[in-house]
Amino acid sequence: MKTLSIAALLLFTIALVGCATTGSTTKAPLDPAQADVQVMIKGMSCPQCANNIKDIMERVDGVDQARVDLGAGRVLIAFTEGNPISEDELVLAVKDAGFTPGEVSYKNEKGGRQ
Amino acid sequence: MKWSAPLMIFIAILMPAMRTSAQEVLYTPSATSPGTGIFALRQNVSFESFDGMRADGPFELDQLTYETAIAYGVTADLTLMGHLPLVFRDFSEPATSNSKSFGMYDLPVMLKYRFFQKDLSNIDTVRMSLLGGVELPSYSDQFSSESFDPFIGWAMTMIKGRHGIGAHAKYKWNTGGDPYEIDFGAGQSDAIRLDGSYLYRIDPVEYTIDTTKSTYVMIELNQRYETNGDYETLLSPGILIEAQTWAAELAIRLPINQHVDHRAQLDWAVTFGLRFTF
Repeated sequence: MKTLSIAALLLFTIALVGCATTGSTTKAPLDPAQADVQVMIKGMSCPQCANNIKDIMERVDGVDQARVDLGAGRVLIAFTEGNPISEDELVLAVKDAGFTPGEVSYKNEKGGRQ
Repeated sequence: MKWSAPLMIFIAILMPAMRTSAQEVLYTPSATSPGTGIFALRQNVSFESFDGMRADGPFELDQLTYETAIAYGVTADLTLMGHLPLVFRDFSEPATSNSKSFGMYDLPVMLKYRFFQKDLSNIDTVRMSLLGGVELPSYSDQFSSESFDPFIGWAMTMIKGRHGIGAHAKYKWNTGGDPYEIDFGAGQSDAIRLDGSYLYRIDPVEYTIDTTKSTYVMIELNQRYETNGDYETLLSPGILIEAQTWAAELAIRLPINQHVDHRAQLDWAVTFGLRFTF
C-alpha cells in the first residue's frame, strides 16, 4: 500500500536525522569518587529525567561534569578547578529542571561528604 | 492551498526543538514539563483506516498523519506548546473513484501550567497541570476548519516505582468546520476527550547509577464524545523504549465501542513515535 510506504519512508527519515545528530561527543562518565558535591533529588523517574538534570547542571557556571544516579536519586557534580558552586545555585538548577531538591553534601578534605 | 510534501517534511524535521517529553504515553497528554529554558520535540507518524457513509454513498479512507509537537519550558511549571500536523489522505468511494490529498490540520497552540507537584521519593511523583489554548486555522483545503477553536484541559501524571498512571480531560469549543468530517473533533460540534493510561516499567527492575535505558509496556483507554451525540471508546496498547537521548514508541488503537454518525468511523490505527535529544 502506497500510504504505508510513505509512512516507512518518513520513519526512516526521522531515524536518519536523529542518528546523524546525536551522540557526537563522548566523555567518560564522572567517577563518583571524583565528585565535589552530591545533590539528592526527588521525582526523577526516568532516564530522560536524569539527562535533563545532567544537562541543566552542566549549564551552571563552574560545573565541569555531572552524573545522575537514578538508583540513589542523586546527581554527582565535579567543579571546574577552583570554582566551587553555592548550594543555592545547585538547588535552583534542580528546581529549574522541574524536580524537588534534597540534601546537598560537599566533599570534605578527607574525601567524605559533609 | 497547495502544500509541497517534501518541503513540509523538511520543515518539520528541522524545527529547532531540542528535547523530548519523558515517560509519556502516545495518546494521553502528561502533566510533565521540559524544564526552564528547554525545548522539547516529539514526532509521531500515525496510520489510520476509516470507513463511513456520506450522502453520496459509502467510502473508505486511509490516512497518514505526521505530527511534530514542540514545547518550550517558560518556567519549570509553565510550558508553551505547538503542534504541526501534516496529513496524507487516500480516499476511495466504490461508486466513483479514488482521490489522494495532502494538507495540514489546524494548529493547536497552548499553555500548560503545572499547578501541583508532589515528589514523594527519588522516583515517585504526582503532578497535575491545566492546559488551555486555541486551534489556529491552517486554511489547508479539506483539512482546516478555517476557524479559531479554543480548548481547555487537565492532565495528571503519577509515577510509583515501576508503575505510571495518567489521566487527561479536554473540552474544545468548535466555532467552525463542516457538518461531516473525517476526524474526531473536527466538525461543528464541541468535542470532549477523556483519556486514561497505565504504564509499567518492564526493564530495568531496579534503577542503578548505570541505568541509561528503560522499557515500558503501556495501555490507554481513550474516550471521545461530541455534542452531536457521537461517541467512541478506543483501546490503545503499546510499548515505549526510553533512553537518555532518544525514545521510540509504538501503539495500536482499536475501537471497542463506537456510535458515530457525523464523521468517519475508525477501524484501526497504528502510531510510531520517535524522539531525539539534540
